[in-house]
Amino acid sequence: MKKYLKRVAPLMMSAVMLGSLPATNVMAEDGYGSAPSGEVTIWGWDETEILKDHLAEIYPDVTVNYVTIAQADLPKKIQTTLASGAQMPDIVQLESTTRGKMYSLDCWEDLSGEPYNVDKDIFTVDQLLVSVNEDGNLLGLPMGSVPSAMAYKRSLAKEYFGTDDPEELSAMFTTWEDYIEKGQEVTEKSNGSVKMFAGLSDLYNVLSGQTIIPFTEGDKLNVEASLTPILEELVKIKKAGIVDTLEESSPALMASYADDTHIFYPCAQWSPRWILKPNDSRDGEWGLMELAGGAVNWGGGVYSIPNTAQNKEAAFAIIKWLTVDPESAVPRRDELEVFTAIKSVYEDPEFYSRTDSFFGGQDIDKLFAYTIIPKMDETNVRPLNKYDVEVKDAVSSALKTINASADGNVDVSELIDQIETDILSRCPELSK
Amino acid sequence: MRNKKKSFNMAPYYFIMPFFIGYLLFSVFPFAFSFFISFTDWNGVGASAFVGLSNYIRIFTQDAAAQKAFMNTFLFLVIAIPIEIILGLLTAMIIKDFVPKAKGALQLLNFLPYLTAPVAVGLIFQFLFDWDYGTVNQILTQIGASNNHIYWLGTEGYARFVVILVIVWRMFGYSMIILSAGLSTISPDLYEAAELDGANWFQKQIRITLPLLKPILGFVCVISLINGFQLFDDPYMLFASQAGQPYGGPGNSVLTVMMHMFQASFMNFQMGYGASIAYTLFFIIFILSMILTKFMKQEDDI
Repeated sequence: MKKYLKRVAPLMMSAVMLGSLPATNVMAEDGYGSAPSGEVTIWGWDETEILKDHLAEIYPDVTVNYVTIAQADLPKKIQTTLASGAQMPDIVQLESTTRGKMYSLDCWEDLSGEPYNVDKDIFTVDQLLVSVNEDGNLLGLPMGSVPSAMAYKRSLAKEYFGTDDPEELSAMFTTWEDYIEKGQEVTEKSNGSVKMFAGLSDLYNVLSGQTIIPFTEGDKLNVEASLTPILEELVKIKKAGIVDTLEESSPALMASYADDTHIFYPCAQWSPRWILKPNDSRDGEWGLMELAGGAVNWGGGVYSIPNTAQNKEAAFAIIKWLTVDPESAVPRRDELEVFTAIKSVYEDPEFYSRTDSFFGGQDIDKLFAYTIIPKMDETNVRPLNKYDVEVKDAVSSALKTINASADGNVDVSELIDQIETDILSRCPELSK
Repeated sequence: MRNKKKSFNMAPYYFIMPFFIGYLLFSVFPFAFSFFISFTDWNGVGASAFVGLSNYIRIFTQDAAAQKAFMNTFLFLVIAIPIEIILGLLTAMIIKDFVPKAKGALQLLNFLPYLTAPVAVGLIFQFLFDWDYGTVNQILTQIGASNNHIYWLGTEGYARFVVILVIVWRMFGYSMIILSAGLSTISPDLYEAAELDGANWFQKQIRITLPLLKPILGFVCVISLINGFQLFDDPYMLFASQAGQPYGGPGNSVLTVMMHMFQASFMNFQMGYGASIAYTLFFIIFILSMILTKFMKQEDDI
């Protein structure tokens, strides 16, 4: 017995030591064929967690395990999980820039197909266009519409344009040429101390959303056709001396919201809550007007179900409520201050109406929901592209070059050459 | 007759088994697996296709960014390593000979940048070298050294300069600690004898310290070389941590081999190609380390 123990004891200790290593995944019980129940794991960056209480009321048998992951880290997390064969979550939030690439991975449920059969036509066109893959399959359900407008500082608008009324200003600035023309007057009046815009990057985000010429066509790179007009417009704005040099998301840009030297800021529907209000405490200082050059979709997310999810039925039940059930539009509006992508909700002309003292009592929800969203359609919403990330990276470098030139004397064709070289070296499967 | 045959005792093997299982699973297997996938086209999700040497050929013939990444990495190595070693050595010598009472405090002070999290370093240098509101530009304009703000992180040359500065600032403390340990092994008798012979401080360092410190200097060189080739955190945090910044800096000017590998594998989903970049780097480090070690050995033999 002693001899036996002598042999077995080390083996048992080894087993104990191995067991003390971090545990891997524990299989959850399958929920098929029954009412939604069990545990649902969601990977995402924000809002679903806020709606957890609503989900608990509607699906008391479903436990939502929300894992917060930064938007920028989600694609890496998903890819390494897939590559290692580890368990994917039941629901993943996918943001707009990386969505085209994520969709290209063959790992998502087609929610317009069996057994889900989501009717694509229930969604607003702007979000449907960025929720389907190249084959038109609905690989994610849109979280909400994300229209964009132009925010401005009322005191500066009044000083330099004689009015701070959004409608009058919208009529004054219908094209980007109007901004250049008026901007030069502002430069003269302020001796160059006041600029129309704080930086090029947000302008690029808006301008690139106003053209739908694809970045690639098949395996051909098409950035010359798609980016040349955008970069030419940016260079023109730079040459006019009406844009400052503040970089995207930089502390300097954030600080500029509270200053008196920059007038206009491109503003997505989510910007007031996440950008403007945290960076400027002045009540009534801001106004919101339509963008020159047309409506733009800016950002937005979808909920997708990985095809290896363990609890697809409960996952679908949850995202169905979050995105397809009009009831969810109420907490989304009231608690998250975001819109829905359910078309029928917009049929009620009073559903989105909220005067905001930060915007001088202006009803910005009404402007976004009933003036801008109806203008967003196939003609001005850029579909997803597998190479959106590479294009954005290459353009960031080009924007630095424009920023670095004091007078805007930049050759756009050279910028395009550089962008093409950057993308082609990262994606050898593409050609010019 | 006494049975001399000893029974084979498995106990020690059971005890070391957890380590070897972990080693096989988490070191040997990934090492071999990544070598295998470097010959494939694999996005990490679907099936992989064997492509032979084409990933390696792509690095040297098709991928301009990879070539730039290798060039940048060599540039950072050639400039930063000598500076960080010389600075580390000088600091160690000065602390030992001139301020021995404050040795602990000064060593800690100089070693702190090495202990600072790269995320914090990246953010600090972003603030310092911001074009509009950066402290460096404010100082330069206030003292009249520059009329205009310098676009440190927006132009290729300046961006490289900032990265080299970060590397040197972060790493010289590490060289200093290793070299300080080496200095403490040199007998004070040698310095006393030299002093009796009339040698000044500079002569003592050249004739005594440097020759006796050669093995430690060799070690620091090899470690710095390996760390330098694996450079990732500093340029990544300076640029990629902020939305809208180009991943490898302006014109890929601070793109390093490791950053390019990371980009290929985890941003472009080209796991096979990423593995081939990693293995190319591995072979370069391996060959250079061998050459350096051999060179140091030859010097010792002479």
